Amino acid sequence: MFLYLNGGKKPVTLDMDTEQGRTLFTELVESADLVVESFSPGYMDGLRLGYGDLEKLNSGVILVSLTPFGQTGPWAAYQATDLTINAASGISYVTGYPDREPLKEPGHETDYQTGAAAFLGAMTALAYRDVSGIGQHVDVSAQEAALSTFSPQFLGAMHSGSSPTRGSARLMPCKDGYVSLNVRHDATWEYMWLFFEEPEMIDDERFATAPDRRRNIVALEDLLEPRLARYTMEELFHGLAPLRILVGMVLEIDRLLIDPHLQERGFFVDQTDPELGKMTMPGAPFLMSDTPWQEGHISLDIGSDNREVYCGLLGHDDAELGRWKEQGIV
Amino acid sequence: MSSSKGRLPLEHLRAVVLTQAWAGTYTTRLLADMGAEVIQIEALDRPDPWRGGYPPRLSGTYPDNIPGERPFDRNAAYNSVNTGKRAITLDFNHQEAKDMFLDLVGISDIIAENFSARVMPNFGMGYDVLSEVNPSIVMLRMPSYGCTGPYSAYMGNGGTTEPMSGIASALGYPEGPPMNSGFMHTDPYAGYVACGAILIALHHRARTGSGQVVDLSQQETSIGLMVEHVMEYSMSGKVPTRNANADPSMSPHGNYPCDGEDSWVAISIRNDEEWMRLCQILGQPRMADEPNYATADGRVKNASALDAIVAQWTSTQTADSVTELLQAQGIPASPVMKARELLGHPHLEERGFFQELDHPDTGRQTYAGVAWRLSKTPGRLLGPSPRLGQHSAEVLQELLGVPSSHVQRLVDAGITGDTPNLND
Repeated sequence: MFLYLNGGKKPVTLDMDTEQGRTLFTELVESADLVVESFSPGYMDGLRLGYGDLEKLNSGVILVSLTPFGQTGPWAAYQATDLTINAASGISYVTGYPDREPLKEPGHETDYQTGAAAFLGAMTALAYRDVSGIGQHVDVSAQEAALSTFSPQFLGAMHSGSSPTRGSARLMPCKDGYVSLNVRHDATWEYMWLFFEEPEMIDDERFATAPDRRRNIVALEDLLEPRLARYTMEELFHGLAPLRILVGMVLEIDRLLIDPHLQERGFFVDQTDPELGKMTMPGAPFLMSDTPWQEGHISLDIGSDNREVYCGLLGHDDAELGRWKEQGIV
Repeated sequence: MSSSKGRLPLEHLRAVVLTQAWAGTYTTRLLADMGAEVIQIEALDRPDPWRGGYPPRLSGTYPDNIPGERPFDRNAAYNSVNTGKRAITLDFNHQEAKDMFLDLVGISDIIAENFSARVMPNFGMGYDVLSEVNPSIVMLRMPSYGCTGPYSAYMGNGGTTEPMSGIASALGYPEGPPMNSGFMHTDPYAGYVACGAILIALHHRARTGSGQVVDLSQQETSIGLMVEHVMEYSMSGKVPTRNANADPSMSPHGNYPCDGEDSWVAISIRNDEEWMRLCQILGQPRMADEPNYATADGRVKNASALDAIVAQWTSTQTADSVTELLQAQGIPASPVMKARELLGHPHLEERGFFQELDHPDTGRQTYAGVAWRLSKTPGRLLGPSPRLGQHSAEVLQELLGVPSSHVQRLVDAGITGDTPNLND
């Protein structure tokens, strides 16, 4: 994960608690567009490197700060993980079965949401700097980044007067796995029965309208299960999707990596690390027609770019770098 | 409340967008939060499905559960992700509507759409056509499966993206089947990434003057949430299993029952030090010496036994009091908040996260606010979500110079207007 999250970066080391380390950091800030940090609120201020200090060094610099609960407020010092942010943003409460414990979303979703919000904060601040020359401080709270993704459910709760309860969606078993299947619209309802070659079922009065189908969902699932069991995920997906039916295959990770669609788009990329060997990871998050994504080099060696950055970029010499190494500053 | 007036970072930009439902509309709402002028185009015979339909096919959440005369202007889903936009209607089956759209493209910076890949080219409005009109335009296309590849013509939504990205296979209880979240949460993450793609293209344009088209697949952005599973499989051949809230390196780690109706608290123990502090709080200091639990590995192996011990204690406490006790010792914990408990939460209130807006059809409502804060140009919800076709006449007149008499002719011909075509 470290390799994926740090691909394309230049790793350097620096002890910012020393005066020399602090000076080198200020030299970097003077040449930087963005400074991104995820220390506890107040830590950068304590080093005299808060936004007020950085702004004096470089009026165009943008400082992006990521924390669990933001820079201010009574929970600012509270600790968090992806699990507790799922809980604190309303997401967990609605995920899972009503008679079981709430679930967090898989992986580290709220961490990615927070990273994305910080990326957007940086980019909007840059867009403003492009027209004004002025930098600023971006405060990103993981709780707010996650909660913003929950805004439809939040407004729904404001409208209806009650909180939505846990109602994760059941997926339908088929011959070799599971599919998601949505046949609420009348046209897709008809197409589905034509696919099953049972056109007489279209007029079954228990399921005549979309509200009927929602109301009688259990009976409908009982009806569909033996039919779906005759087909594989692939057969259902390629049979129903061209009929404009919303259908998805529940792909396990091994199947995902050999998915012909993703392969044709060249989504996954392989990288080889001398110690860890070959590994596969997602490639470009989106494809831009004029400015293609740059696959980052990977390195596990912290400080491997000290020389390039401190000597190449900031113009110090090897003797200085050697001295700082001895002093434990880099 | 962040409703004060002030400069906004994107107020120099105009977007003309055909985004619908959630992922696309959230993308363009984020632009509006930052000050961009966002003109949302719908068709009268095919309004945004997130408006919740119209009688007799209603599927929305309305204030006081009353759909009202214009239910499509009262639905929470649409109204939550279209704040601050202007809404116009145009029927692209008429050449004149297409011409007006192209005129808007000519005076805009951004186009965004989230139809399946074939739709815009079928309308004769692919990027090749639009960039001819405006070479500096930035166009975002974000179909479920992207613009190329064998699935690109298929329709999708969050209900198909979750299973097709591997997420559904990893969500569930250990002994149970895979599941979808039930609220299509891959949409807003795709929205975040898509908004970033637009801003990168704009940053490039600010330097070079040239626009470009972005091809974003929501399936791919969602797989981006599964990186650790993809890498683990590629290196070890291990397919991840469904494991509720368990973590491979932290234990205890879960949502534990509390005193109160369907009340839960989330607790994560990240290291040995936090484990020892938890033992003190549980009133079982001697458990800290138990060798089976002394290391993270040991605790993960014995997770179900530890979960039972923690649950026994939490079930006698409120979620708030557990949170306070644990956070006082630096341990991550939070009540599992219900949507309505978020409103009035002292931390979010003090930070001014929520924002109230007056809407002509829903009255005064409280909205979740902006997702990141800029110190000098903070974003805000610029206004309520627009009613269907609310700004048709004003946009066509002000921006395109269409005379008002002609706007009326367009309304009479069903090309624009504010009343949905109910013949569907």
